[in-house]
Amino acid sequence: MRMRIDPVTYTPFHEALYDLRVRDAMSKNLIVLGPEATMLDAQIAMRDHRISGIPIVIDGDKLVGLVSIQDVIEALVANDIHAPVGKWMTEKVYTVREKIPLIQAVKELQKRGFGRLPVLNAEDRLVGMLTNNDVTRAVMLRLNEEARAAEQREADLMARSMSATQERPGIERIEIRVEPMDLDAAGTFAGLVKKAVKKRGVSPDVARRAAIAAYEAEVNVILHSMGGILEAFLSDQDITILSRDRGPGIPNVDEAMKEGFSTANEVVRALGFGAGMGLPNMKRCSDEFSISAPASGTTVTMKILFNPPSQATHQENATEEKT
Amino acid sequence: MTNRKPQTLSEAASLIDAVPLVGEGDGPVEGVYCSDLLSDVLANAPENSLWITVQNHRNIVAVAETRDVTAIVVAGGRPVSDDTKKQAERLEIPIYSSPLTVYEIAGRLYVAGVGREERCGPQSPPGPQCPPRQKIAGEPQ
Ligand SMILES: Nc1ncnc2c1ncn2[C@@H]1O[C@H](COP(=O)(O)OP(=O)(O)OP(=O)(O)O)[C@@H](O)[C@H]1O
Ligand SMILES: [Mg+2]
Repeated sequence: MRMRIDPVTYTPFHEALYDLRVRDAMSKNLIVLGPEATMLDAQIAMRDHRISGIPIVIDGDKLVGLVSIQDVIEALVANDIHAPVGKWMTEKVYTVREKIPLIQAVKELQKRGFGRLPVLNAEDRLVGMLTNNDVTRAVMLRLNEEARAAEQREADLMARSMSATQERPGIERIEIRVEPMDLDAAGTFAGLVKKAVKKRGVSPDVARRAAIAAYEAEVNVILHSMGGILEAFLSDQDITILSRDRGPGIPNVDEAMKEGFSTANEVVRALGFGAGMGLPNMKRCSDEFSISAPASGTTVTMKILFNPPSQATHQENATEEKT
Repeated sequence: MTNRKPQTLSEAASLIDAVPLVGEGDGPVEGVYCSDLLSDVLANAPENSLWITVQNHRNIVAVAETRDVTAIVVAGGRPVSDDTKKQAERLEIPIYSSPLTVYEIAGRLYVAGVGREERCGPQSPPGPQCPPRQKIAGEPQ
């Protein structure tokens, strides 16, 4: 059984529809005719340019009507194809403004069953045409851009970790990439960390603290971030655990560090996550702890000494510290 | 059932009517922790302890492994998926199932003296922490 819970609000397609404006999607290469052109001209223009409607303008860009294929057919049936378009065009034309969100225009297209909508600017001038095709193309382009940006972020993240390794030769390194909400993978990193520190003959307490710190960091990236990279660097004296993710960061770190604070949702709470004890656990388990959490991504760094000078500050005395 | 304080997993298991689902054994039992919050277990479960919980999904295994508990006891006879069992086998974490509630399990182990030697050694004066054993109602015989 795979346990993967979809993040609730993440619908890139709809986000793109809301983000984009009509003018970002409309086609600006306009094929227009004046009212004196004939229905035959309209038919030929439609065929040549593979379009299903032609705006009729005066003064270059003042919209006075629209000739659709339907109008052409009616003119043909009436044997009136040589009449001026002014006679057959639809005069009451639905239009949209160039600055409204694309989603609104899409609703208009759907509601009225139109294939196309003329787009007007604030001065009522025709500036473009919007079809379903234009909408699809614009959304796809936007999603592509976003995918490329995500790849770039990924590459940056990788570059950062590579440089970290290269600067520290002779250091054993563990790396795991974590996908959002992939709870099945929780514990993979902690397991590797535990095995690696045990191999170095550390005390059970040190091994446990390293594993707990790793586990809590791992679960936080899975539950609260858009994915990231967990790394551990082992030297002869200590282990450094580095957790970096793709955001969205933590608005108030002081608050998040308090025991009991959690934004975990109902689903994962039912599984026993979301006690709000992860960050406090990490801090208590490590000899050095730091966190920074801008929107671009949370970074947690924890160092655990293999031979701590005094056991007194740690885990096993946690209850005393609290009182 | 003897009155002796259980020292091992199998002794503790028989006291709380628990049957092994994964693993078995004579691992040491020196403490007990009852919680369904994973981070709470990681923070507070004592060493060599039984972890009593109603959580029955696969993530409990990694928590048990991380905290080094001796075994997981799933209370209330709640079913444990094959997926969870497989993970437990892989990490060699024993899982037991008891039909008793968390309360009953904890009560029986507490009364038997598991995990309270410091507070309730043979010399400790009786008090709220260390009730005289013979006066506990409902103590299993
Ligand atoms: N990597 C992260 N990215 C974004 N938010 C985070 C991250 N880590 C922690 N947080 C925020 O900090 C809060 C507290 O984290 P903490 O680990 O202490 O508790 P929790 O994860 O909610 O519950 P628990 O760890 O007890 O299961 C989280 O609920 C979340 O809002
Ligand atoms: Mg957490």
